[in-house]
Amino acid sequence: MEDSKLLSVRNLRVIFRTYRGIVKALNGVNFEIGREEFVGIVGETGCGKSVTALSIMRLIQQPGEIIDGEIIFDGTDLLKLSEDDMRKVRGKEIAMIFQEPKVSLNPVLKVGTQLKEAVSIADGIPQKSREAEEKVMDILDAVGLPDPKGLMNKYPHELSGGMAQRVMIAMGLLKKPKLLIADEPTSALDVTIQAQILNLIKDLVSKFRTSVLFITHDLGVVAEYSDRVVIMYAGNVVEIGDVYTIFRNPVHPYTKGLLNAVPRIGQREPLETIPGIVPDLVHPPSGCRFHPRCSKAMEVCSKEFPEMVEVEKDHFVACHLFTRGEKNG
Amino acid sequence: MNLLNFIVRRLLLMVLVLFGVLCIVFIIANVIPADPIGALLGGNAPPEVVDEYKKKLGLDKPLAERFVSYLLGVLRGDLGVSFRTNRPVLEDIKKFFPATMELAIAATILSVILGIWLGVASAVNRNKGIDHFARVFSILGVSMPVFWTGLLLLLIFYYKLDILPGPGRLDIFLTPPKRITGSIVIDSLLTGNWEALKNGLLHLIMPAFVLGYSATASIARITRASMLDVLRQEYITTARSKGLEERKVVRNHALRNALIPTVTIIGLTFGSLLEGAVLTETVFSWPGLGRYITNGYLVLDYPAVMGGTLYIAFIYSLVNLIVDIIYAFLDPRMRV
Ligand SMILES: Nc1ncnc2c1ncn2[C@@H]1O[C@H](COP(=O)(O)OP(=O)(O)OP(=O)(O)O)[C@@H](O)[C@H]1O
Ligand code: SF4
Ligand SMILES: [Mg+2]
Repeated sequence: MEDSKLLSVRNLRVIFRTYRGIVKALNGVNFEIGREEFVGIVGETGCGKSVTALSIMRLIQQPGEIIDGEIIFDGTDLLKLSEDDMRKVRGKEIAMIFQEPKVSLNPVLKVGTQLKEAVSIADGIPQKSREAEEKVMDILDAVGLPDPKGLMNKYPHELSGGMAQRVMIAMGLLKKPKLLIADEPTSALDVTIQAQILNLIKDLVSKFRTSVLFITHDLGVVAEYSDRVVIMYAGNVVEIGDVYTIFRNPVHPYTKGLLNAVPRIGQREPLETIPGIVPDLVHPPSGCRFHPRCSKAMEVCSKEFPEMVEVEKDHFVACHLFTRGEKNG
Repeated sequence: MNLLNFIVRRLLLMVLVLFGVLCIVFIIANVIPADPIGALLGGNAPPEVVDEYKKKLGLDKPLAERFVSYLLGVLRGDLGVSFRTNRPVLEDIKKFFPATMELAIAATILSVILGIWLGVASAVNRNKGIDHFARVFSILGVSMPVFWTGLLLLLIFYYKLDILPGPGRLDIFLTPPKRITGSIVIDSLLTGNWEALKNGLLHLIMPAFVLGYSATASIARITRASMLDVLRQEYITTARSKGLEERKVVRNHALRNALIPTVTIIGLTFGSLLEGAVLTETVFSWPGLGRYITNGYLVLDYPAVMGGTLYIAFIYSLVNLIVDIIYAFLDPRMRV
């Protein structure tokens, strides 16, 4: 069963050495993505969503460092690959798109040049060849951009945000990757454009049978598009389950708080927010990192780190409310 | 803004600046309590000879009259006659300026290549050996006086190691190429004089390095900073996430963006090279305009000093004007 998973992230630890001290950004992250599965990662700002995504690509830059863990992708541990082999994985198997499409494209290179470069790496054909050009035109057509020829001669600043994100999606999907990592790909776009882009991603990934790791703040988007949801808090995964379970029956106190903070249409009473602030990851709270803000916190919470347990089939949670029973029993 | 409008305004400004320079140079030359006749004839010349010289050089007239006639002369392109060489100053400038120009251009080319390379290498290898080296190199570059660096290098590479030629533009026993442009490099290329070309280039290395040192340091620092900034940009992550080799990420994606601020500094440094030329030429006995001015000072040859300084100010303004026009042209916000 393990091998059928496309991606297993196990005990991933990432730190950043800063002047303030060591930022313990990821503190043992665990989750999996199945084949053709759409997985959403949700959590407050700074909880480590982007760092997780970049770690999978092995693109964490100085002063960051992956200090522990495994990232098993399609049967191989990416963290053990040579830089050359990892480059092949990036070129062919995993694609990534970002929050600000307009700054994700190089301002001094034509759109066509940037796309042809990606084709040339993915398919090993010369960048200037007719074949590369045709492939680019095809994919631009597939992402719903009119006049592909004219577009290829444009510079990124001549595109709207929505068009630029379509170009980024084209650049990611032209290699028909096994995994697409999307780091808040619609947060910077207008609401109407957001829906178009999301539907486009959804359509294309099912066509290319690509799995998706979708990072967002927007629980509505997660509810609508994801198969499974990963909830992160302060460098840890705190709860994982399929989308119905998480929305109908959340068990982690943080997930419950997060869901209560979502405004509902017609809601009159003020939003319930989780009291307290996101912890400083240079000096993270001991034990369960959520304990200073948790209304259910017990003595053990500040002392021991809660391991992830399966509370029901395929529903995992890291909280002493659930580990305690196990220990006693 | 309209480009033509901009150019006209800058030209008017340039005339104003040059007039200011002329006033300052004239006042300094004529008001300081020194005696050019004494410097020319020596302290023991008989009074009637002194008077005769005063008349001949026009020093007997009142200051205001002298200023007006100098100004009118400048407007006609007449910078007066040098006390020392007895030739029209403009002739002297024509003779000496090509050597300065050659040195300044060589220094620019050297500092651009070296500065950009050093900046990129230290940004890409941040906090590693080359970065530390570049930091020390840059601090020395902006803090060591030109004459000191010049003398030090002469001492090491010419006197001790003897791997580079000493002062001057060519070895003494070598016949210079036929003068066409006044630049040894170009003239020997034009006349196919390879020996002079090689020797001339070797002679250029040290003075060009010394003159361009502080420019190299500024270019390296700007390039490093802007390269580090560019490497943090999202489009670089995109380029890496395509599976591109880091070498190509730097060369094809980062470099062009990083060089935009560098171009600005290159324009600025060329002007300062002309200033530095005065000292560099003196240290390296480089027969250029800088040395002409210095030698003029030593004998209080005011027409030479004034004319030479004015000419350098003119070239300086001209270069800056051209650079500004290039920016105005490149910056899309300036395009109407
Ligand atoms: N280059 C860096 N240097 C220092 N600390 C960093 C760096 N990058 C990330 N971090 C730290 O790692 C932690 C996780 O950051 P990350 O960007 O993954 O958050 P995120 O969940 O993506 O937040 P957001 O929703 O705002 O995008 C943060 O505490 C952040 O301060
Ligand atoms: S482990 Fe304790 S502090 Fe953490 S969420 Fe559960 S109850 Fe709250
Ligand atoms: Mg993020």
